Amino acid sequence: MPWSRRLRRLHPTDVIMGIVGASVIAVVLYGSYETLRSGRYDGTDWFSFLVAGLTQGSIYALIALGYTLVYGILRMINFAHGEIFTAGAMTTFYLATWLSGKGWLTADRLGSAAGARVLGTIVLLIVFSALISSIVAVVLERVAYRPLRGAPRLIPLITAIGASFFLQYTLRGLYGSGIRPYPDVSVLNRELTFGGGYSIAMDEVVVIGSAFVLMLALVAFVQGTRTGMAMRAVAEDRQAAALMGIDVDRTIATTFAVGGALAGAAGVLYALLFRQTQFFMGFIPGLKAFTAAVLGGIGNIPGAMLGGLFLGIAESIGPFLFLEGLGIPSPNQLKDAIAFTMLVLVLIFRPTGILGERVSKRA
Amino acid sequence: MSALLERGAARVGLRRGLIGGAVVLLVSLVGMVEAFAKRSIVHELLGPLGAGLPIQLLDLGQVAWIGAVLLSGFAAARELLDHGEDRPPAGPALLAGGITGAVAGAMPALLVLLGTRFDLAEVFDKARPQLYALLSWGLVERGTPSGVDAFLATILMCVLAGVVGAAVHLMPPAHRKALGVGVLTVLVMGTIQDLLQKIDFVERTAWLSGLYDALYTREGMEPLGAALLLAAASGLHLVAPGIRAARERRRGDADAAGDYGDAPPSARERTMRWLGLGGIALLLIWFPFGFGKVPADVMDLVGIYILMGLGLNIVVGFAGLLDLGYVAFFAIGAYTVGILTTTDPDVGLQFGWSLWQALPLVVLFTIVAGVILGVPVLKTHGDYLAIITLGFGEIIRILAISDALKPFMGGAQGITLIPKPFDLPEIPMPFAGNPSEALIGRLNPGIQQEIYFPILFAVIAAAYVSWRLRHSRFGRAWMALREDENIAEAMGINLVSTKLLAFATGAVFAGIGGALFAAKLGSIYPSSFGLLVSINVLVLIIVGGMGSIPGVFVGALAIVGLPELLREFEDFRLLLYGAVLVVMMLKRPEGLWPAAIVQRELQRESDATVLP
Repeated sequence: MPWSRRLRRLHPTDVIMGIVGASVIAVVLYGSYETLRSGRYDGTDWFSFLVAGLTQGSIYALIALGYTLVYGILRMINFAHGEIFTAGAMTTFYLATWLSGKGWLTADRLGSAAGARVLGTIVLLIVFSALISSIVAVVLERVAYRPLRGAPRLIPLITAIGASFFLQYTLRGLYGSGIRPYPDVSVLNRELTFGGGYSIAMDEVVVIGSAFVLMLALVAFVQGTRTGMAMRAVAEDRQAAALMGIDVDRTIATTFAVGGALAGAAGVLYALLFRQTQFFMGFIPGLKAFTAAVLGGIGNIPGAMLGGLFLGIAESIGPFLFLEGLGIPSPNQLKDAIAFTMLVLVLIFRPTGILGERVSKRA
Repeated sequence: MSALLERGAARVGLRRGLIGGAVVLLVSLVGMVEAFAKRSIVHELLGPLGAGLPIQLLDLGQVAWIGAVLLSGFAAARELLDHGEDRPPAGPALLAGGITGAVAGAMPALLVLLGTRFDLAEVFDKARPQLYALLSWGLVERGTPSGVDAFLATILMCVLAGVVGAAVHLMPPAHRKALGVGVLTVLVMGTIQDLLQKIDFVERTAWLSGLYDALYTREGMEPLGAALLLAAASGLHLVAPGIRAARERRRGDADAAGDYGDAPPSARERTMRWLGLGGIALLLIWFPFGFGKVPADVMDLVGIYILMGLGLNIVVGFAGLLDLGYVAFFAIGAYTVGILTTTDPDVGLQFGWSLWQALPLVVLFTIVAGVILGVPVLKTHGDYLAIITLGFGEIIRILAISDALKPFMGGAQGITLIPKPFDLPEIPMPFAGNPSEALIGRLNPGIQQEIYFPILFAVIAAAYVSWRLRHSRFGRAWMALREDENIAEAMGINLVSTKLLAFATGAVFAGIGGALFAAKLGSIYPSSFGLLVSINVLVLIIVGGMGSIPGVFVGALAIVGLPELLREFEDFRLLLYGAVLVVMMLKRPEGLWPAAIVQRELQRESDATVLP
């Protein structure tokens, strides 16, 4: 299309948005330039920011997968997904405390037999939490979402918001409103050091490693099993899948179970990293994971993984990289604002996300 | 025997019992039973008959858990209905009710059995001896393990409740409904005892306080009063078919008037409507004087939420744009007033304005904010719109709390020392000491009630504006937009200006609400502007009925007013909101007072939906 016609078709709002977008980019670039020029942080600092971001991001990615799986199959945002994450983490707290009391989480070093037991215990905690979260997710789907198939789109969304609050405050009622400190796995506090001052904490290695394994398992499940194939078929076209003899309700329940399991696993990893649980711990990570899912293109599995990692890194590096350069005091307070600004910008400028090709106009 | 088991009574009972038992466990373990037990409804339920029995009074906690079993029994009986039947066969229904009760009762009974032997409080915060005592009718004392008697007593009571619930379904539908209304009346009247106590004019008027004393003891209602109230309410409901018939007739007329349901009212109806409105207006003006400070305070809050509800109703209800960041405008209104009027030398702009000088700027800023937040989201729809607006709301809150804007907005410490809107001296009361004082009390604008009238005025103005907008060209454009954006655009509706107008109008209402909120409290903190406010407003318009203006009032009274008055609910407020949202969406998506169009549309859609 010739430029003149393109220009004439340009709507005033597009111009305004273009200016907004350009100014955001300019501010980010200017802030980054100022920070880098000042030389406040050296390579090891940036490396540790990056690793912290990757760790946080892999947790986001696990939660984001749940959003994406459900969205892919039902075209609905499961607003209560953050609470499914909390349910797993908070319930597992009791198992973790009990096992920690038996000494299963203590070891001098990871290489020993005791160290192997610590890792085994962590796997056990992840499996248990995944199980609890899966159950909550399936019950939620059965009770609140299944009767609403085919209802106008606003209705399931409002139901999901209601379910989110219900679950959050049920957890508060059941387990109390206080912060519960997760047992300290001291062996994970050690650091793997490389030359030149670069190092990674063991808990970060464990979180990134587990998340990686879980994501591989998910891809294998979705691509390699019959159930996974059924899930893809239902996501593609529910009616046609039903005609091919796929039990749609069961497939949807499985999707919720899988998404819930990933969220539960993420809950344990989150708790290991931050060493505490509380009833509203899942709300903000849930929102951010949703951001991640949108970033990567919602409904798209690799997209959710990528979006999660990207968001984690942006959140961890961003405040120091460009906010500090702008002379903003205590930039880390604005970490959440970065995530939400990214959400808003992506939804406005590229609602299909980084990898999303499926344009769902009604979304 | 086989006749008893017909229609799968045992299976139905088992299933309903499991569900009911799960509900009982849930309300017990989240602490509702214990917290609600503090509110007694009927004192000495069985009168002298119950002297030796453990049940001394009926409290709300018992209502919560026994009520769940009762309703499960009722539902079990209903499940046995064949198509087109009113009443299930008696034998299987009662059996199903009994099984439901037994299964449901076994769960709390087991909880008591386990809880008195092991320390469940390690995991479950509310699993305390007090709870076990309540669940076993006081048979379990603190610290003593429960015996077989407590176990059986719990189950027995639940079987009884299940059977009673099923038996209720055996009554003719008209009687059943009347009984339901009666029981509900007693429950409500018992629950609001405290509230009645707080009303000034009840205390001041001799016959009302006499009635109060006759109906209530210090804790709960008199059993006789409760029985009379139940009989009166049920009876009234039974003998009121005339009223109902009239209502049916009117509804029939409305349907006959065509698809729009907006038939012009007759002259008589119009007079009645104006008389009704005038009566309500007088009542509202009299309210702070007659009801006293506490109810007036609650009404202030309800009024602010009505303002926001009316605004969000335009955005969500009329235009169908789900906005989860609505609190942003509320915050902008409050902070504008705070920054411009505060007398605190450390924050704000030191303008030293009054609320009235700041108000035009509030309107201006919120319009600008509505447009600024509106422009970027013009192209997003549905779920994405909801999430974007949610993001905006969070960004505003994070900015307000951050140190970056601290000298301006006060950071986490907020803005204090916001002056009162009026600086009036106490007016000497011309009526003092004569009989009219009972009716009016002391007119005293020097106290907090002063903000009541600006709020009342704003609510009336907002309701009028949104009512006029609803029937204007813009209102029709919004509704076209809600139904189908593409078709609306094809019909020549300018999407940009229509959407932006919805956002801006909604924003102004919320901004004025925020301004009045700041003036009422005299100090604002970022924590008052969280996502919860957006959710509260959304819940209230959904409960009232999306797109319905009277629905906003009903919703605000139910969602904001009631919990303010019933303090026991405070801890469970959001839990119940969540449950209310889910249940409303499942059972009654059109709300309590639906807009005519939405109701028809939802019914049509549910008829037309074919599940794959």
